[in-house]
Amino acid sequence: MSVLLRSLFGLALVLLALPGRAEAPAPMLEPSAMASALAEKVLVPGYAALQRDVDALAKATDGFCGGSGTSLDEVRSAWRHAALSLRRISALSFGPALESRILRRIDYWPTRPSLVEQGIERLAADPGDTARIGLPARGLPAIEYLLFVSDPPLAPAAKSRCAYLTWLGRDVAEQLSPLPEALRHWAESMRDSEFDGERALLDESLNVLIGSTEAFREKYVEKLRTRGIDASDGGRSGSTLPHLNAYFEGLATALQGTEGVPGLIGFLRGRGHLSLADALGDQITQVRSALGSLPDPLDSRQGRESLDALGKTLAGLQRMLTEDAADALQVAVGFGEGDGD
Amino acid sequence: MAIDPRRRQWLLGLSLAPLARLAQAVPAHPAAPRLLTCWADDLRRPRAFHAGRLDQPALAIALPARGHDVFWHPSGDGSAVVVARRPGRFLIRWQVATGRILARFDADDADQAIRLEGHFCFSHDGRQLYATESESIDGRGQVGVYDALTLQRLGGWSSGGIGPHSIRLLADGQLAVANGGILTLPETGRLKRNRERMDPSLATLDVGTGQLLAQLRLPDPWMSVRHIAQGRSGQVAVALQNEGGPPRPLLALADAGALRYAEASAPVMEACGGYAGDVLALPQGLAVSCTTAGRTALWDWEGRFQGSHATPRVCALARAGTSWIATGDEGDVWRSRSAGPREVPTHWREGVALDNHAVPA
Repeated sequence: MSVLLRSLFGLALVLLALPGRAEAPAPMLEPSAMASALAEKVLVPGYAALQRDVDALAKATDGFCGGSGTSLDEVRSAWRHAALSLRRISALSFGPALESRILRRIDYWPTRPSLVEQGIERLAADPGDTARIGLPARGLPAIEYLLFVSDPPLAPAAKSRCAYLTWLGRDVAEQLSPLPEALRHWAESMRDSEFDGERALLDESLNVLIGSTEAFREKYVEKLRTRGIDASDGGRSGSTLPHLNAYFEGLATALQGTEGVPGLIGFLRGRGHLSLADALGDQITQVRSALGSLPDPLDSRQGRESLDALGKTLAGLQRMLTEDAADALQVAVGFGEGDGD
Repeated sequence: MAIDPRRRQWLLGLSLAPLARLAQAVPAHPAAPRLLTCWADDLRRPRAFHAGRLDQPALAIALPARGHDVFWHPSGDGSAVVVARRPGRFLIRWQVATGRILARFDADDADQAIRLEGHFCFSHDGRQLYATESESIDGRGQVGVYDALTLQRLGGWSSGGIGPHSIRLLADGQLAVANGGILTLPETGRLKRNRERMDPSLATLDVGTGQLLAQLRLPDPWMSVRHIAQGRSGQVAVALQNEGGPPRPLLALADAGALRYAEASAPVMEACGGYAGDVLALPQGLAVSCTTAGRTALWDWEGRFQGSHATPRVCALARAGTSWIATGDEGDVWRSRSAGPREVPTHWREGVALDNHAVPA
């Protein structure tokens, strides 16, 4: 074998040994293109769906408490729809959703039963003074507590509780109403040719995705693992598993993209970070697989072990975003030179 | 651990190990000063976080994320309290000699949406603990009031600003709060959201009621007020962080109802950089850790610059008699014997990434 042939053979072996599964590059995008696509295709319809479901819930609570024949089961079903719609967008705190603090205003969790009870008393004492009812006593988790925990089950005859339930439903609907339009405006503003906030938008977008991954891991999965189903999101209504899946699928949409939405992975490909994009995709697959392995019911040794495994895959995803993606995109997510503690 | 570019360690507290599991022993330098502090296994990509005595690493507790302020409990029972680095969730009290957890607080269990801001102090009688917090909805600064033994949160007061950082109980019984003036939100971690609209201040609060008593400001809104020290005769000084404005001294003194900069020539300001990580009151003046510049700078109590020492990546400052001990995030430990500007501090190197604050063990 000539030197040349030996060299070519050696090169071929080296190339075969490389982890070279990287898919082809994608078009290079600006952060505004990634964010505006997500806003148009995911956030606007997601918030519109949530608005519809919350309006339906408010109507159902009115009907139930007003004695017009709506059953408690129908109100509970309306709550489940609304809560699931909320979880689908919970990880996507972008633009007006972040600035308005809407996800914290209508989704105070873990629920504070004692504060909800105080809210009931406060509203009963002075129906005109709702301003003093704090956020921990409001929102969809507070409604879940009223609908699923009351013993005996909530009935229209329980005037104070029913009045509070009705007010909560209307309050959530009112808080949500400006969001779909605000999100549409936000998406349009990013398509403006004079948009000059690309760097800040990229910084914020990656930080939100990291923050949502951490929140999912620590607040939803780890709390469920260590404190049990009663302390879990949706635990009172038996919605824990669907909520976990909905939250992660929302997050995965922003990471992986969907039809017409490039997602972070497409953005990375467009910047030439093909191996990282592949690795991120693989890690998302692992999280999804771990989520799919969660047993029902979760309150078992097997459930805790599965949650532990899920937590580890999420930790890997978080590290990948915090370290690798942040490095690749030169996004400051931490303690920069002038960022003191 | 003072500097870790483009990292957010609070996001890296990824160990799901039980909190009370003892840390893997890392041998400490036998001659190094004994310190109670926090550390991580690696500066660049930390995976394990601990709090304890640096000279007894096997007894340190594993933390769920990076720790920050740490103090011995004033009861003198051998326990200590550590708070999470900002924006953080936990306060933990533990028995230092055994690593046994005695009490803990998780911000998610509070009756209010809050995040901890990495600093705390105790009341004079040691029964209460005051921790800086930010409200999660709009970022308003708060002082959380806690039972110092159980760490149960008893309530909260306004800190008088946003982005509260360190807190200190002053000799006259008032609480001093360094309102850094920087807005952050839980969804975006440590991302600064208001650098054009900062309003830093040193606020004093009535320790019984939380009422805002006074609020001192510098003329430059880009100088974030971060850490507080008080001398034996009551003088108060603050260490500063420059958020992108023209150079300014990194130390200011509370004087006649206002904050005034300590003296620093242009070369001194250049040598000290833009970020002070800690400030320590000494009998003869103040030591300031100029973290990004890697120097420990000394001023007297009149605000006259005395000199500085090369201490790369320095941050934590602790008293050693009448002088100072400093640590850096690459594991460096320095001790000065005379606190004089011309003395070369003794130096050791530990095998861990040391965190921003420490007290003598």
